Amino acid sequence: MSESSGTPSDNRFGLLSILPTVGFLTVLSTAPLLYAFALSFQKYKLTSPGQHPFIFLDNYAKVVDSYHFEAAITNTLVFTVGAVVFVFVISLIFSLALNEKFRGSGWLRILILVPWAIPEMASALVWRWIYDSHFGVLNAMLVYVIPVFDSYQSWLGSPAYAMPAILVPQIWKEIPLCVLLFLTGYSTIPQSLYEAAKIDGANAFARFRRITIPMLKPIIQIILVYETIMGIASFAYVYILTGGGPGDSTTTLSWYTYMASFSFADFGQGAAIAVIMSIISLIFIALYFRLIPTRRFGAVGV
Amino acid sequence: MSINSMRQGEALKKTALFVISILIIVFTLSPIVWMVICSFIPDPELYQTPPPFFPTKLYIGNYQFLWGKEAVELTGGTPGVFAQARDMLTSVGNSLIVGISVTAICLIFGVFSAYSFARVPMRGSGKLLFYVFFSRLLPQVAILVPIYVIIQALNLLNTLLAIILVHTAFAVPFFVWVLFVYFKSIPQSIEDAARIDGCSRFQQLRKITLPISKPGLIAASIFAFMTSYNEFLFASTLSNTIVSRTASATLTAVAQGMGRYSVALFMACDVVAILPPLALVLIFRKQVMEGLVTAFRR
Repeated sequence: MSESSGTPSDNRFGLLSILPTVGFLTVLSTAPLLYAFALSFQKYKLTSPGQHPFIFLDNYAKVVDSYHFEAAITNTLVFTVGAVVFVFVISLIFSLALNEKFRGSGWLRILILVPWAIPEMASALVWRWIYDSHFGVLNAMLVYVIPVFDSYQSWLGSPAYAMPAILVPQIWKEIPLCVLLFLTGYSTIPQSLYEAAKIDGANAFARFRRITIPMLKPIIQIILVYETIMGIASFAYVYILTGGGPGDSTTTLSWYTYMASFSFADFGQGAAIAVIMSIISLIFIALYFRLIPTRRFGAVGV
Repeated sequence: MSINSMRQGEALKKTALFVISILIIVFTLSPIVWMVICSFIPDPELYQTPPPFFPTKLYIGNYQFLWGKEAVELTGGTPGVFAQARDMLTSVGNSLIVGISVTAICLIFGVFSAYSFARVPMRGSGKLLFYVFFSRLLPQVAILVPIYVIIQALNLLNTLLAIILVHTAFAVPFFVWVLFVYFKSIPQSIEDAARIDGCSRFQQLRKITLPISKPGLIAASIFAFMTSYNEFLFASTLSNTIVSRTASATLTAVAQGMGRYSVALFMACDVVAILPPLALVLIFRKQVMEGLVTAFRR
């Protein structure tokens, strides 16, 4: 096609308009990433400044050997899978309800956006207060209003509750986007399919299983992969609510990166975990890009 | 199906919708409602078991304190903690400066980039678009140390400029992506007509494409602003002075130091901090919803 090579003036315009953005991102995104990669092969401790000898894979060996590592991998897996599953199921249910027209449904569709609009740190602050072991409202609810427990629990301080406690805010924050995506998904399904199925005598559940789910496959794939990426990268709630604890029970890869860099003051080891975490993310990012149609890029002459 | 069972089905559906609606309201609003309630309670009254679920009177002392009035009803804590809370208004101001600057830079550079990615045929531009977008998806904590070193080398620690630069790098990929998809959805033929009339690329963008892309521009700008307003890790690591702290950075400091004193004050801080993004999203809800959906459409 003649599309693949533009006129000289087009090329100039294109180059001038793309270069600043690409250059900017190269300096402040790609270069730091490459720098982290380089750091991961160096001995770089803040306690011994000035010299950063090249030590090959030593940092990686130390990081992987550490007892934090196994916990970080397991916890990242539990956190991510937990977040993806709950976000998926809850937003599916919420969106199915919001897809119906009833009094107030318009308001609910706006309301559902609220958690998405709240800055992470602002919500981390209030979640911390909600979970408080002495005066937290969650404890008060579960003891005085719906008496499930006899006494106050230390939600953030107990190995059994800490992980669910950081999962809840993550789920809370991610649901709005997924509800919106589901709602758009429903709107793309032709009504005629449902009517035809009705005439054939299919009940509501059968219509959902045979029409809605298959037609939603693209949206479902995007939600699953995107939420996986977000789960791996999640940091705020571990940082503010548990600090990886108690013990290592909520130490995730992102927290381990931070802890190694700043608590252990070892930038080399921190970088090594960062590289490992980035590679795991990259697998899912690649998957994500495969789900976005490449057809759309055809027109710009790839 | 008999009429009777159909009626039963209708009733069941109505009940289910009602229950789910209640769940949605409770789920989305309960943390926010509790934040707001706590901010209107005199601090000492918060530390009761059970806490005052429904306060009987509206106490605005916590907010008055943020606006500089001495408060009487505060428990424990050090003057430093109170000072931190009082910095909140400065911090929100900083956040607005940073967020608006980031959005402006995105608008200046991002619009051109997105337009060229969508319209100007160039070899390799598809790959470059992937390059621009993928950096946003990587875990940000991975580049915290390198960014710190770069900003230190540039002698920009404790400046708003440093935060603006870093936040722009985080915001621009999604900005370009949203506008790219938006521009793509506009029929090429509209521009072709203008080109035949002798419009240059720049004129086509300015006179034809931009005016009809207003919803997309609004959505992309709001996402850029929110990315900046939300970001706390780099903002709090790169600046440690009151004059250069953003709202999220101050909240980070507050959250880390929060014990069981002055919580009512901190909740008032929190309410103040969430107002700008919440207002933006509620005012432009239509564009935000459409924009989000656009960005993830396949």
